[in-house]
Amino acid sequence: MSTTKTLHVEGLDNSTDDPSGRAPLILKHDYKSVTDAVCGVVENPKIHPAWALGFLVALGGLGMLFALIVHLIATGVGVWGNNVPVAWGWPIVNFVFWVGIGHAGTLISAVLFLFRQNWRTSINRFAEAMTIFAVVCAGTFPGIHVGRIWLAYWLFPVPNQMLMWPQFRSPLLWDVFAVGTYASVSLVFWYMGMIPDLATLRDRARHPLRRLAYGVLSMGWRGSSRHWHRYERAYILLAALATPLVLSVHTVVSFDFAVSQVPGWHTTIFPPYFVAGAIFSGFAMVVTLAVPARAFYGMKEIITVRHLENMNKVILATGSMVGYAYAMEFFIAWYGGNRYEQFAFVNRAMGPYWWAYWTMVSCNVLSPQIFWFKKARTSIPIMMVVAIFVNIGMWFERFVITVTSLSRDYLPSSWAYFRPTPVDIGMLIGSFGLFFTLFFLFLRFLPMIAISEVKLVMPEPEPGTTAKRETTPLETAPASSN
Amino acid sequence: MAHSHTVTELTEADTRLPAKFAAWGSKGLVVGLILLALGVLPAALGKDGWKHFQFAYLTGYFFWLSIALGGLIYLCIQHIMRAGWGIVVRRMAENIVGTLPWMAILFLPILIPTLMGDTGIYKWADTAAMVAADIEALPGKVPVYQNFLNPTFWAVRAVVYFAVWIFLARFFVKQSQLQDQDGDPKRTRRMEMISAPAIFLFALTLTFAGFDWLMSLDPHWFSTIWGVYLFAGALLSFLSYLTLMTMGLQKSGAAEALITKEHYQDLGKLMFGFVFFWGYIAFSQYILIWYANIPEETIFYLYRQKGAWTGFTIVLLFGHLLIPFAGLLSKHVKRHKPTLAFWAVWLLVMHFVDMYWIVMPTLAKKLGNSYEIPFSFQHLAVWLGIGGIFFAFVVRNAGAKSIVPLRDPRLPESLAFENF
Amino acid sequence: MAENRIQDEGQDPSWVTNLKRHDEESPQKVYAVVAEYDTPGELLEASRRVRDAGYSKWDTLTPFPVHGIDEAMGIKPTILPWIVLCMGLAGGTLGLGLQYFTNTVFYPYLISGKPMFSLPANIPVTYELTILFAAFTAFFSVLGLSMLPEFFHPLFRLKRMERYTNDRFAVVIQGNDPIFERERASALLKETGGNDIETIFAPEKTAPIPAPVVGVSVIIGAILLLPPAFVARARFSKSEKPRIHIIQDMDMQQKFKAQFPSELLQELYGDPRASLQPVPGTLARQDFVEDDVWLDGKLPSGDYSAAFPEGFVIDEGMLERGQQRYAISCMPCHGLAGDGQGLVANRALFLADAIASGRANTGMAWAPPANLADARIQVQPIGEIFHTISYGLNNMMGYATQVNREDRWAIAAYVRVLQKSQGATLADVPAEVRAEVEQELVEARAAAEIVAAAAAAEQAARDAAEAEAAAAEQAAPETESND
Repeated sequence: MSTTKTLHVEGLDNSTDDPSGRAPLILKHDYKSVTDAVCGVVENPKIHPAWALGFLVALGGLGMLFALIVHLIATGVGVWGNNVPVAWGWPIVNFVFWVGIGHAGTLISAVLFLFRQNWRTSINRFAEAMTIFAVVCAGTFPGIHVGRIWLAYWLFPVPNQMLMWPQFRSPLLWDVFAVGTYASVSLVFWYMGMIPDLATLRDRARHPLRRLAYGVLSMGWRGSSRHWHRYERAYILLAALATPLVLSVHTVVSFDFAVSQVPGWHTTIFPPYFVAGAIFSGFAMVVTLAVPARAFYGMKEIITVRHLENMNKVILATGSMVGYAYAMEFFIAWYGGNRYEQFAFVNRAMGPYWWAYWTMVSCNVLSPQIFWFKKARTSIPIMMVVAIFVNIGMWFERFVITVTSLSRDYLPSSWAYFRPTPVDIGMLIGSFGLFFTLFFLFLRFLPMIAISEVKLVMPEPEPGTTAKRETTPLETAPASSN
Repeated sequence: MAHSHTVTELTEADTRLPAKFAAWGSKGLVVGLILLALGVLPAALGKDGWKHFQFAYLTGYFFWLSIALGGLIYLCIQHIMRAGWGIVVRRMAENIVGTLPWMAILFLPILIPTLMGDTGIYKWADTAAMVAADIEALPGKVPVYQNFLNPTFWAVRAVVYFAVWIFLARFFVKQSQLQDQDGDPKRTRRMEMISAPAIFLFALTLTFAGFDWLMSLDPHWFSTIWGVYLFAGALLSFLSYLTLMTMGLQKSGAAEALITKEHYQDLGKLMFGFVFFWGYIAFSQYILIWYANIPEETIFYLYRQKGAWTGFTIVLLFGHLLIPFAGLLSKHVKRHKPTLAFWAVWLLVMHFVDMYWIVMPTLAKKLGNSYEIPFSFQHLAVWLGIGGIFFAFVVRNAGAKSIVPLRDPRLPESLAFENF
Repeated sequence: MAENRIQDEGQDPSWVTNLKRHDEESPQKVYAVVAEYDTPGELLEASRRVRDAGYSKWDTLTPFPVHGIDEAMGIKPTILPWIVLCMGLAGGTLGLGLQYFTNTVFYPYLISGKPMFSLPANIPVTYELTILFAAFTAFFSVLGLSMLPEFFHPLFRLKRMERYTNDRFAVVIQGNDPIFERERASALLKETGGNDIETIFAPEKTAPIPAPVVGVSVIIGAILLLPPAFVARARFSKSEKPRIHIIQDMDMQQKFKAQFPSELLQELYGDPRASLQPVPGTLARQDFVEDDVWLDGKLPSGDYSAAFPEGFVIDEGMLERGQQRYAISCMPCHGLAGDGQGLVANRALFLADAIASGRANTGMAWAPPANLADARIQVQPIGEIFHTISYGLNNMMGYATQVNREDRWAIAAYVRVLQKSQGATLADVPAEVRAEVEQELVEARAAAEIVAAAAAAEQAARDAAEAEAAAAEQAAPETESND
């Protein structure tokens, strides 16, 4: 806004709280240098050893995941620690964990877009990619949890020789539709946002194969204003559609638990509580990934301290919402006077899984409280530690919900203690391998920052101040033919 | 970026509250008092008149209180987000929030009888009877009556809620007003800093006030999402009320150039968003209780889905969610004052329907005519009566202050605000 | 960063080179005049001038959406939101319809007492499909309305294109604009401060699609057609083979099956039967009762007992139990009144009758169940009735395995009640309720008369209608001939 004073910022710290103006979101860059910085990562012909090492480690994890899945299918779900009464063990915990992480991307893209939070532009591409990879990891677990995996298509309403149809009154089927819609709409949203940047890469490409690949991916985008007009309308609509979608996905996941009558699962705050928790874990994951990536790829002027601070504020807010929900559950269990409900919660905090419960509370509710201090919000080491704590805590939250309630339900004679098997643990680690394999590939081959959107929030150059017009390098460029 | 209008320097006349608006305030007070008197009158005549009045008062009171509380959270959110667009309508929001001390006084007709053990509204006010009734079937509830749902502790909590709300309301109103005089940007910063803990205090107090004053109408029923449900309704009705007040201000000849359709569009967007949010929370609560079908929870909806209440529930579904959702979808509706005003009034009426739907089944059960809607003209009279008084307070708060936060550092941004 | 960029220019594949050669060597026409601008502000100013000059076929190229360009270029609002709205509604309708038809019409299946169709439970899927359809429509509408993907476009021949997706802005006035003149357009762009004004040419004829692209497309298309082809084949053919199961261990589980010998059990116990026999000479604890009458209805002498077993108390509760058990196990054949007119018996007799009269060719020979009030059965000792219930007679199977012993005695007692009721007279009814029963009888007779009268009236009406129809049929040919 031209009426707002843009504050002057020294160095790389733009986290000022001065209310008399707005701090710049992108530092020391003009249009061209942003393009160069982001495209340079993809165009660099050298493979950095650190990237290669990380990629190989992730690939190893992925290989382990595949091997374990083959083992699982060949042997049966008995290789997991799932038992009766804990029939929903780690696979569901992992599923909810990954789906939760997959929420920040669409939240940053869509919700922050609707709220005109300009700082989203530096991190949205990143977060959307993370969303899709997390949803891929999430989708793996219910897929392999069905037992006879080759019949997984029964989840979908496909006409078949048995004349049978799925049972639409079950929340598990709602999940199929919610997660399926979420994955595909997120993919469309991500891809559509990337088209202009892919066109930039195409036009900069020197090698014909590269130009061909990015040319096909960018679908002939030319930056025409008539196209931009429709593109922007569609982008707003997608944001407006993705916002209720992101709410609905984790809501439906929470229905999986909350429509039942299991004490500790059936409580009405589950939908908003799950959504808040999902955003919480998603933002923590974005911080976990963005901090090393911005340092490694020299993006500190684009993903600035201000961006990180804002994310930490969101982590504090959503972490406290999650704390509110924990408190409400406890209070209402007491207030309602229902002895089963009361037992479930006492058992959570003091039963055999007390260690999981208190890990969860200290990671999710207590650790983000340090973000009340600005020093902590803007300190890279502290935010890394807290973000990793939150990731751990949110995994434990799903563990606590799933396992404590099931292991001690209405029938004391069938109470049992759940223990993961090495296969359970291997699969959790393997899912991280899958996630990071995709993520490393993304960093290498696609623009990790939404170039065209970042330019939108940069101050407009005054006429005559742009870099000297040079024509020489362009003369050497061959005419694009694709 | 091109701006179609340039920022004009504010003159003294631009910021003064029009006399016409001030006059409406005193009219509101007179009409409100007359209506309230009409509402009380039958209480003296018939034996059910008093019961009707008690419940009508609770309904009407919570309706207006939730508008003031919605304003408080709105202010907190505006500050913590460092929102620029809404500065021009913030002063009116502050005037609405400034009614909270008065609302504390208006709470006395509910507080005093309950504190004295009157079971007219809350049957748990008779602790001994509740303990005796539940000790066999629901022994877990006995400590709740003994330690939580008893008149004394309940009253203490009410005092705490009001203390928190009044403190926060006075803080925001006062800082903003002082800034008009000294233009100190540190005050903006201070409000931003306080609004973060304020949101936490607000969340807890609103939740427990909702438990204490509405959920405990049926002491056996419970829902963990209750606080969120009330928050959604409160913020939605506040936004509607703020829109109407702002339009009233402009109608009386002020702020013509200051508040544009851009600001109304943003208010409309928020209304639209919270229509959806309310629906989301209401549906979540409904489907979980409906699906699990546990008697102690289902009773809340089962009652409201029988007899005459069926229609009422359907009105809520369509009127509070589906119709306004469709109605507010278009950008043009939000940018056009008459249409936006229509939906603001609509949503306020629906908020009343919501409150009525929460409170009145308890009265119906008390009167023994099951599944009948115990409608009486008293209900409307008391609701609008409190509304008249509430409006008078709002106008009084507006008083001699500028109608916009004159020297807020982000005022120019708000004045030049355009949607894209 | 720029120095890290790939410098290797490589060789274009031959089909790309051919395309380029075609583009360069064929006759050219003017496609457009292009001018470059440094900032969005300059572009907006130039756009207004071009718009006001009356051009309609022109465009601007920008690396990001420039705020205010729609107004400056006079772009009309797109219809895209309306398409999205329609498709969203269609998606919701489809979702609701899918759930309704699959769960209540095609495959109604009761699960834990839930209603087949209940709106709250069907909202999530409806909602998701609404969003799914709307979102995909939004995406594909952008492409469709913008005529994308478009891999060959004259603008791609522009050397400066790289800047327009990076940091510069361009105005493009197209040659097919009705008022286009190359010099005038160039002059206008020059006036608005445009730099590097360039004319782009396009070949008059577009090059044919290169063979590799055609080949790849044909192959992909053929592969995509395969699944539908298989589905169609499966749809219209029959197969007796079970569906493909990769891992059979859930279908072919190791387990003991009734009536099948098991080698494992043979090995373990020397007895291959899946249901293990009790150890010889033993009896389950509750099965041992030292009372022959109670067990079999027979005295130690072998004669049927005329009395109920000792200690078997017959009271109202026991008779009610007997009535209830009778209704479950005996009523289908023997009828509610014990007269042998049960539903199964009636149906069987109907079928047997149908075979006899040649109206049907399936059915069975049927020995009708006994009328329990027969004199033959009236005189049977109670022990014999119990024995028959337990072990069956003729067609009737024994119920010892299905009805426990106490209930069988209760049924036997109830059979006695039925026998008594069949030949009962008004005198058997206790005096205090006799008047009531008489009244009921009168009412029942009156009701029967009314029903009979109604049936007669209906029959009369039907006869009249038939007569009329017959008359009309006769009259019909006449009206036809009149035509």
